[in-house]
Amino acid sequence: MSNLDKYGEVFSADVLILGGGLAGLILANRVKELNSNLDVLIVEKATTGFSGSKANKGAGVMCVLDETDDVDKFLEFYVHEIGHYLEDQEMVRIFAESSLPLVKHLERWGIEIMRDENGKLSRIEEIPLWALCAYDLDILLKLRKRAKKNSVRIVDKTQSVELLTDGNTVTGAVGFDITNGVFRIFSGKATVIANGSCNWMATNMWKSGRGDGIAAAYRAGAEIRNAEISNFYNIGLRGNMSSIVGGQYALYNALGEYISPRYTKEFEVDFDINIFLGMEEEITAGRGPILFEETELFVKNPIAAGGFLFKWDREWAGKFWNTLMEKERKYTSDKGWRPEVVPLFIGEMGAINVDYSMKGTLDGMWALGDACKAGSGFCGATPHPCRLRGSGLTWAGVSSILAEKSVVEHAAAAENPKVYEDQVVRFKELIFTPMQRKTGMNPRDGIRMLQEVITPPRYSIRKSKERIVEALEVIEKVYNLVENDVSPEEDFHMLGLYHDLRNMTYCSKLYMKAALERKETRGWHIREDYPEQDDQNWRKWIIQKIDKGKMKMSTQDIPYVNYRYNP
Amino acid sequence: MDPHKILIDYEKCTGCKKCFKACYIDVIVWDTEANRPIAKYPEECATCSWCELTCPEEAIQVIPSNPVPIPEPYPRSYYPKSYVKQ
Repeated sequence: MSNLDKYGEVFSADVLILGGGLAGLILANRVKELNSNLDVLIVEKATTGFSGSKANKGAGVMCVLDETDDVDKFLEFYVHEIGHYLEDQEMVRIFAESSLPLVKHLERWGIEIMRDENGKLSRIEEIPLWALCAYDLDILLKLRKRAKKNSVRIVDKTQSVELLTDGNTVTGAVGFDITNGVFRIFSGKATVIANGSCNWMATNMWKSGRGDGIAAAYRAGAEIRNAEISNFYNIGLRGNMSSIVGGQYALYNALGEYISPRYTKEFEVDFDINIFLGMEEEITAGRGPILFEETELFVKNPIAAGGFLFKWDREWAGKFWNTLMEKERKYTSDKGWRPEVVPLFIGEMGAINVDYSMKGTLDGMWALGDACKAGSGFCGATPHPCRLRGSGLTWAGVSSILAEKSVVEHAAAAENPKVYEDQVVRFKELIFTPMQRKTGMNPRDGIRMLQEVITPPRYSIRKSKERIVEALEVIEKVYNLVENDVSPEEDFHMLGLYHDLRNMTYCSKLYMKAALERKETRGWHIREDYPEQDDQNWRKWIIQKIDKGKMKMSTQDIPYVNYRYNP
Repeated sequence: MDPHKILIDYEKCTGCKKCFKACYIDVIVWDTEANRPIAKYPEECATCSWCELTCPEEAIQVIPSNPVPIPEPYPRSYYPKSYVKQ
């Protein structure tokens, strides 16, 4: 490493964590608790303590099974309503059993988790299988403070772009400071990808997840699994793009007909794919637009009544949501009674293939949180957050505590990783060469081109070979533009966006190629050209891997002979 | 379509840098010479308002611009009976 400082700033660590959101911070703190001698370094694109998409920008609710919950019942529900027999049932069980230990760590660290007067975790009565426990939205600031106290080092404002490798072992990462362009080289005995899913910058809260770690892992040779199980939707108001939790129960068509019962079961724990297919059916028949009737929202709708969860005022959540909702009301472009709603693209492609200790298929590499939720086999046939409100935050923490032992043991025993100078030089050139293009296409326009073939319902809700091929043609076009014509306009923020676009192009291709491959309909994977669930041929996970510069596709049989629940 | 507006009152701003740190997608950059924030990239703003919430002087305000120009979910070119006129 010593000879590399002529190329940029050099850092080495025992545990290198890419991403300072909830998962990265929990792992950093746990590693220090388990072995305080290990040197832990977090590299974050924004500022650790504020970054990540959801921990401090959502409801602040985690789905947790407490001592009174029945894991078998949860698993049975999950398989039938969410996984549709494509989930790894052992992974789902491990998740359920690890959620309470996570809460205990957080409480031990001084994070207040909402409990009732009897000390039970808060929950909605109508959802009996798990608790929904809330915390306040300053959680990341508290975890950062604790990490700093534990001597975790943090490098903020640094976008990691490529993983360093020594054969099949990941040895670190390289990236650059988005404020001034300083090139940074990081070596790690254990490298942990915790920088989120790919959401194509489509919707506000999820805008920071741009597939950085997923694309970098794929380019480094790691396996991707279940990429087709990407892209969740909510129902959102077109006038301000705010999500309406429980909105499926409050929909009318343009004829004034109450359409919710046509497409939604009487009780759903969260949005199901049928409501979005139904909305499209109404539009196709000329009965659009779809309208939201607020008075219906609270009738037999436990999800919308989620406010009853909050048994005490949360200072930061209160400030955050009051500000947000006031602005949504004030600045909406649709102030009419019964405003228009559309499918709100969330995204959440997170398909790094990991085992039960969150270790990827390359040595020295782990993935946590959104980056690997589908890749772990947890999601089954429903994209993250898998119709389980709060499961993303729980997964961030659970994946961290599942990884901790393996990461600590590896980092304590491994020798200093070998970083190759020629690889560093090559990556530095790759990162900064686009800056030499003084003119060209703006990265934002490339991102928009991808959004056009990923986010509309006809590409990601109801798929067909014809439209997937059409999308892949556009993705290929964007890929070529990235290679030759997109210009960051001599600006390091725009260089960051350039690499985001490049990563999103990789994620788009992985998603669409896997969607093309899965020739059946299952859960949220709807293929109008293959409308049946095909348990005989498709109880398999799709694996994608780079091989001599090309994407190699294969399948992995699901070990369902060991499973309790089968079709 | 104008991007979202991030208004900074430089009279009130004390240069504490909290808004710069709170911005999770690099909309706000730091002018080191003036020791003040600049809302340089409003195109990427997610209107989360964390910059506003953390500012001790109430010197920054985010004003969302709507409707957000999303890729049209129901274009008439694909749905001939769609209500969307484009």
